[in-house]
Amino acid sequence: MTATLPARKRRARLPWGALLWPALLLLCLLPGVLPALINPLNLGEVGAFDPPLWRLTLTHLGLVALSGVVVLALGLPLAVAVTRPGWDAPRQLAETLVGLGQTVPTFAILALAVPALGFGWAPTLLGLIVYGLVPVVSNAVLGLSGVDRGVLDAARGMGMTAWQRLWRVELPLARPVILAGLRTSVVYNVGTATVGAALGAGGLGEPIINGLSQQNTALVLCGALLSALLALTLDAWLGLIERRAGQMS
Amino acid sequence: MLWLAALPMLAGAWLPWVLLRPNRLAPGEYLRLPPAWVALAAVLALLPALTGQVRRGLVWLPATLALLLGVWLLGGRTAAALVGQADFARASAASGVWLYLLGAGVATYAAGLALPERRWVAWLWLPPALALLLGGHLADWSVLVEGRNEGPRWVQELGQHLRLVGSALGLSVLIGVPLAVWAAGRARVADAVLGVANAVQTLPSLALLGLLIAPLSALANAVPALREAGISGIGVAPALTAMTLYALLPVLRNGVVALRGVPTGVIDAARGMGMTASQRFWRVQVPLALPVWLGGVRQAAVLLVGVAAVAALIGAGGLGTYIFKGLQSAASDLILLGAVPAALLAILVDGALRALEGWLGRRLGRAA
Repeated sequence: MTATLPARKRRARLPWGALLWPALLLLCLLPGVLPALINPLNLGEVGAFDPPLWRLTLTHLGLVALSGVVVLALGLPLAVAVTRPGWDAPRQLAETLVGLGQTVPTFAILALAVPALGFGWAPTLLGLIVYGLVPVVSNAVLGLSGVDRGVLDAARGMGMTAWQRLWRVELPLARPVILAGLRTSVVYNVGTATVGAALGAGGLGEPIINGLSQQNTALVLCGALLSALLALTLDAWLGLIERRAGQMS
Repeated sequence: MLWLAALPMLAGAWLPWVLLRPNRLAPGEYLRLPPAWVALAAVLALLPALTGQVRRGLVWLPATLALLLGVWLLGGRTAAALVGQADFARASAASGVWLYLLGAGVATYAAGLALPERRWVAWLWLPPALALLLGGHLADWSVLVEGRNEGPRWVQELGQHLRLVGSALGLSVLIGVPLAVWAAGRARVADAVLGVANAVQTLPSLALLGLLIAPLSALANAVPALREAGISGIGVAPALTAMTLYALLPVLRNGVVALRGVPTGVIDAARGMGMTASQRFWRVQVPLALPVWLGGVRQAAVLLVGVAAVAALIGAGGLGTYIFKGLQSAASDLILLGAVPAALLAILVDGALRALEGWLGRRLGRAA
């Protein structure tokens, strides 16, 4: 009994999700597969998609990836800045804002961006960046301030400058936590981007929103299935990267 | 940080303050503040930072004044812009107002941080601002004009929003609490519950709403009697079902985590004292698990406020109705009318439940 336990644990660690979810996603994106699966359920008519599903998926992925890059470029320097000594007040402000961002509904943030930026992908991208910053900043602050003071003192004792300490000690030690924040941010943003379809951003929310308003459940099912698979795929892949980073440091 | 706050305020004082449109959809013209007001606003923008150099304890005064000036000028300038205009004309806040209020908000927040033992000074602006709002000084601001036109319907939708959130939360607690207690006692079931809860959390909420509606509508198609009973893919019933299932996850997950987080040593000690199983449960496990558990209920409530806004899409009503109406007709005032109260509602619910958590934690901490 006890001998089988570690074996099962090791098998659970196999990244089967990182292969299964993208495979299912690709299968569903093959033309004709999804209608053939859903039409027998008698929920509504699913014909040819215009624009095709793979293009919606790519739009979705593009929005999420672009916002992810911007979030990292903005969030990481911000987190580094507010964790320097003497920046207590900005850190408290950043923490308050992060808490606020967790509370305010996504849909409200997206909708509030519309009067400022008009319709289309721009307000959605802004909403994705604002919402995506929350986990990245909070995790990066957590990771950077969690670095052992003794380690930093030792680095200083070795004659490292502040920059060297940041690059060679603090960031590598905080990397797993930061990557976990990025993973949360990206996975949430796949969900947020579906809501963005209501603002005309395109993406996989489009069939969901259209289906809900036309009472065509089959259409809803298409969008829901694909966006769920996309979220699971990205979660599994980023999980792999996160684990590798954890092993390296 | 005060100098950082002065930047958006200076920009806001200079940028257009009011957008005047002949009706709520037409393009309009941007109006700046008169020079005298620009000067006053700019002085008040710099004053908090200058005060901060001399006396940090007094920053709250100019910061609060700047915030109130922004709100007051919003009312005054929108009213001035509408003088001599037709009934359909709308005067809305332009980028200047938002930037100025943002900067002033940061300044008041910083002022509160400078006085750790008197944090409440950061909220001194709230009563006068509410007085301006309720006293009708802001009555010509387009969002409130829109709100006045909607009037009772808006109150109704707010009520519907609260009803949706309340019933879904109540149902999920009713189902989730016994389920969590049952699952927490069984290691295998608890692991499965946590695994499923974590997996479902990665799914997009809109996709989940859609996936939950599909079986309901299939059921209604297959059994016509159910459709007559009101179960279908559209309306309050599917929205409520989907929301309940959605809120069930945090309630269940936090419940399992909280109950299993009670140290076994404490339970053993209680057993050693001769407590029966039900005494151990009610007097030891529940009080120790309750604060964490309430955290799950709070998460669920905050999530539900957001999901209820999306549920308007399937005809469930609520504040989301205005957001979608505004998005369809490109009327930003309608969007604000739905989105701002929804955001405030979420913050309010979060704050209230957080306070309850803290109070319970202190009380139970003392009792234990």
